[in-house]
Amino acid sequence: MCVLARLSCSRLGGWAPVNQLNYVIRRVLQIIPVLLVVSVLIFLMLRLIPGDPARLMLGDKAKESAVAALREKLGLTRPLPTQYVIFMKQILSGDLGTSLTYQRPVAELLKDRLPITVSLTLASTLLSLLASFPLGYFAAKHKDRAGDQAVRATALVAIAMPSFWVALLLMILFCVKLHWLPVGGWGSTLWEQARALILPAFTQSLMTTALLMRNIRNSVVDITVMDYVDFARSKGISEAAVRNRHIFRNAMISTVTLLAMRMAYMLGGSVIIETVFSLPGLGKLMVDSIFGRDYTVVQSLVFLFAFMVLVINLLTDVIYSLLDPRVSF
Amino acid sequence: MVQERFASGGKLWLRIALFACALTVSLACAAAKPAQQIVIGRLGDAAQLDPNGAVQSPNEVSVTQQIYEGLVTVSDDGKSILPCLATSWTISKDGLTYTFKLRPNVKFSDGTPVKGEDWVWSLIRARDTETSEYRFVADAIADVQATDRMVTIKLSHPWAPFLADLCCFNMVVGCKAYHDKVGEASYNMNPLGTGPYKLKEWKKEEYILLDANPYYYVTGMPKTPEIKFTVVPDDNTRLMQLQAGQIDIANDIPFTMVEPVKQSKGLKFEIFPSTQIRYLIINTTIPPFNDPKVRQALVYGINKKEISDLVAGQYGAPVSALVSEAQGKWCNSSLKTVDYSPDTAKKMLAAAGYTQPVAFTLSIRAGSQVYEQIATLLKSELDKAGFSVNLEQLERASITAKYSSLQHQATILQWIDDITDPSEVTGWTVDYSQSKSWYTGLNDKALNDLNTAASRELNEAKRIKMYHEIQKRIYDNANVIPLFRNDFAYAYSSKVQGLVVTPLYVVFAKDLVKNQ
Amino acid sequence: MVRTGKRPRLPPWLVAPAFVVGVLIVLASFVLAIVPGKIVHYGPIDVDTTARMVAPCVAHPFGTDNYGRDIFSRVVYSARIDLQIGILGMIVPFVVGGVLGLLAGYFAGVLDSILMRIIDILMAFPFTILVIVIMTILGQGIRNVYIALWLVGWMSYARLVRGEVLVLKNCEFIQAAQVAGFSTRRIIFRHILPNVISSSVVFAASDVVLCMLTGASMSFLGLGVQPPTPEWGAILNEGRGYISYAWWITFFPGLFLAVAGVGFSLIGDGLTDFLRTKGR
Repeated sequence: MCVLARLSCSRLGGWAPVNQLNYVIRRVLQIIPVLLVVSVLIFLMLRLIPGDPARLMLGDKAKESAVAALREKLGLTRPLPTQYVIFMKQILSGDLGTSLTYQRPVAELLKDRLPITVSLTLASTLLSLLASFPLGYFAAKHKDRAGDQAVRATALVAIAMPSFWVALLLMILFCVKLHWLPVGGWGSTLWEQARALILPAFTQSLMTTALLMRNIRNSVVDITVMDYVDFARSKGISEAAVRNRHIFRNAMISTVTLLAMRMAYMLGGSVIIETVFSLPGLGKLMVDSIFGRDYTVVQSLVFLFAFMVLVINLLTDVIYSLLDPRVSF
Repeated sequence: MVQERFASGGKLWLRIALFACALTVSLACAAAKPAQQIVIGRLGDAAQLDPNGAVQSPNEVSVTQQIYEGLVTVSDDGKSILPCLATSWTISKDGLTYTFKLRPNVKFSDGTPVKGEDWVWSLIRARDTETSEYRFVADAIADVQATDRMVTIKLSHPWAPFLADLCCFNMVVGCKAYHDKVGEASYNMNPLGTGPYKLKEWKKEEYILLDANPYYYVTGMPKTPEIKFTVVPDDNTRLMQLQAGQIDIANDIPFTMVEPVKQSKGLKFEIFPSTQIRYLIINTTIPPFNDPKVRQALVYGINKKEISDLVAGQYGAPVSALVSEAQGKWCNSSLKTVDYSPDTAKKMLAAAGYTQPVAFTLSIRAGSQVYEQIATLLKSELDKAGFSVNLEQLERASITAKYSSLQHQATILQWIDDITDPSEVTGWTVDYSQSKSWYTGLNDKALNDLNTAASRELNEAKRIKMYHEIQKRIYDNANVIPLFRNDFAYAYSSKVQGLVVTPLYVVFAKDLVKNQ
Repeated sequence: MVRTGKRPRLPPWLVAPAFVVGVLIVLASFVLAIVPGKIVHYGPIDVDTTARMVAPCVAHPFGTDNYGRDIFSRVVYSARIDLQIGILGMIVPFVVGGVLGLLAGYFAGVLDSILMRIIDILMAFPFTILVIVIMTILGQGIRNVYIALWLVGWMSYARLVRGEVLVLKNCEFIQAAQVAGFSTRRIIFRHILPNVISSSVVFAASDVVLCMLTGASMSFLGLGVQPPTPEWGAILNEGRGYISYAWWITFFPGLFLAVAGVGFSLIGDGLTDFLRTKGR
């Protein structure tokens, strides 16, 4: 029914560069209170969880006097508001704090781990894009016929398979039985690292490829039935031109949104993959830090992640507007 | 041009052939030489490399043990004390003064000679670092005097385990001048010791690379110039890396992986006697286990043989004495394991006035196959013996918080000794102030006093009797119930030789050799 | 609306055998969940130390695990737990999120702003980390898996429904109803709701899969159901230690999880097609 309405009614106001700038500024300013609430929430949530980082660090034979001394040394005996203020002051001056467990600056930990998670995300995204566009278009062009059904069935199975299951099965096949790829771990040379990424990126890309492919297929199907495509065809433009100019451009809108969501998810949700493949990435750091009650690491990383997600959302909206001139501010 | 090339083609081929021969011969020679590097894969990375640092898990200790050395060290079978940086020693009659003659010309791995002030600083530091949980081994030290040839330690009271304590990994010598120069934080990360290895490279969360100490006082040691400790958190991955030849030795092999290791070509599996024991820890401060009769009935409801068979198989056995059998004469082996007898347990409970199954929650740490296996079996055994067990798996921080504040009813913990003396485990078990009597809440002053007296008793025969008595009382209390002991399991490439693991979980890498 | 391309010859619901397959799979899962005892010989938590690590055979079609428990029985009994997690984990967010999105979209203004800010804040947390933190605070156990899923899942529905309501609000027939003086409640529930619910329903089908997978992931990390309760993710996790030589402990629960997921996804897809061809 209101398909056109759906696209144009989501934004109000007229389209003009000044309005666009205003919108961007407004959105940027909106990020600030959100970040503040996020920081308070994660600060409190962490301290709500039972468990003492000092006791955890000292291990099974932790003596009470040593625990008390370590808590003092780590600054955990200071009142909560003081600890929060210190946290915010550090973050705002660019200092991510010192990890309780590793006794190293969080920025250093980040520097070590971020490239791995980012490479994994980028590699997965690349694989997904390479696979999903042709598959999605192919499925749409063969709508309801065997080709379409086959591709969609595969996508379904890809979405439903648990990633850790796939990861373990792939590892047995390619690493243990065939010896084609290294068994987990991250290499030291670029070549080794590329090889180490193959299976994890493939496993992680499955879900995204499937979701993207379906999205592209549906968008292409939807748009194929739109009036203006008929109108363009009636003007005598060739099939290829129709495809290139109109269909892909519009399919990209929802695809970009979906892709942004998936990338954000992958950056924050790569835990399982990193655990199974022994990749020392961010996801594993976050989970280990939660389990180890390393408040500093979790707080700083969640704050960073929130900042990044909000920025990505903002960028997505801006790209949205650039792709579809009908979407206005 | 082209014709010229073809004309000299014959000579070219000859040159190539000669070169290939030379290459093959040199490769063959190289192949006969042992490997330059041995790779050890383990669960996690070290947090820091100072033996007096706050965190001292096997991840830290297994590395610092290759870098630092102390006055004495423990033998391979863990039963005797051998000279290390001290060549001989005398103990005064009253047991208060220990005098060590030092090995001459020992240097740190940067060439700095070891001075007397280094010994004084190191031993006092071991005693006084507040955040170190091993400072208790140096607790008895009143004063240390040292020259470059001799170290004299005066104790504040007689302390029988002192020589064993001196073998502990934190009683090592570090360079005071170096520490003062680089500062505490850097000293933690960049160790400087007298041991066979020194730190070459440390890529955090990936690997630690050690190479040979050029100033090591034993010629020809270490046998392998480089040791690399890599981090492989996942058990399966570690095993697969071992099978693929990426690592040479795999630490922390669960018993469930014994079969695949045995079936793999080129892999060896070896077990080493250990002091590792799993214990059922009972909270005696809250119902139902504040009633000693319930605790005693519990013992009859546990089938230790079934648990030991399933979890450790042929690599373990049920035990009932607090102190490990590997400690030899200190273990009270007269304490027998009772047979699993659910009916006896039910009768005892009924006699104590419990008509309904006694319900309790067994809280264990999540993520550990061993703990889960033990708990699952305990539940199925105790449910038939008049109890009703609810299993609760908590992740590490939550369970630690729970039992350290005595909010649990029962949990499963483990222990490995760090010294060749029973005082560490008995001290931990009876000391209410430091460990709430190993989180059982049983505050028995008489038992604590007995333990203190035992640690100060210099007559060995009397001392043995006292420790046997302590173990008997714990056995009767049934607050800390030993379940089974298990050996240490290591899987490694059959090209590797010289792997020795002491019952204290000490591994010295200097004897490791890998043949190509 | 003018159609181009091939017109299906049969009614939409018969052209989609996939949808039928999905329904069959889901029905089969329900059977496993409701009457597991009728299908299996052994109990799911019966320890039998004489039959440990047995490979799949006639007596134990999926083999046994380290305690001698029959894997087939455990996998079948898991259906109940996993379906519960999937469906219950989806239903509450579906209803709550849907209602919130409906109200926020229709009334806009302050209510809408607050809702969107809350969603922005929650979505700024990484999803997996948020679930892990919530589970760590609440503790283990299946009840807390639900709570974690509810706390995190409602946002998607709220955003979906709100988006649709915003569009619909400007359509003529709604404006006509407002002008005609129909009560707000009637407009919302009789006119708007039926038109916006379809995308939520479609999302719900894939959400069931997501909930099941999240529950399984939590068990995989050691945070989900308590032992010895059988759950597909938990059994998968148990099998991790034996994967080199007892592949069956890992293989079968993963397979069932995947098939169940496929069933629900097929239903979701079928609904999408159905709604698409019905016209909007």
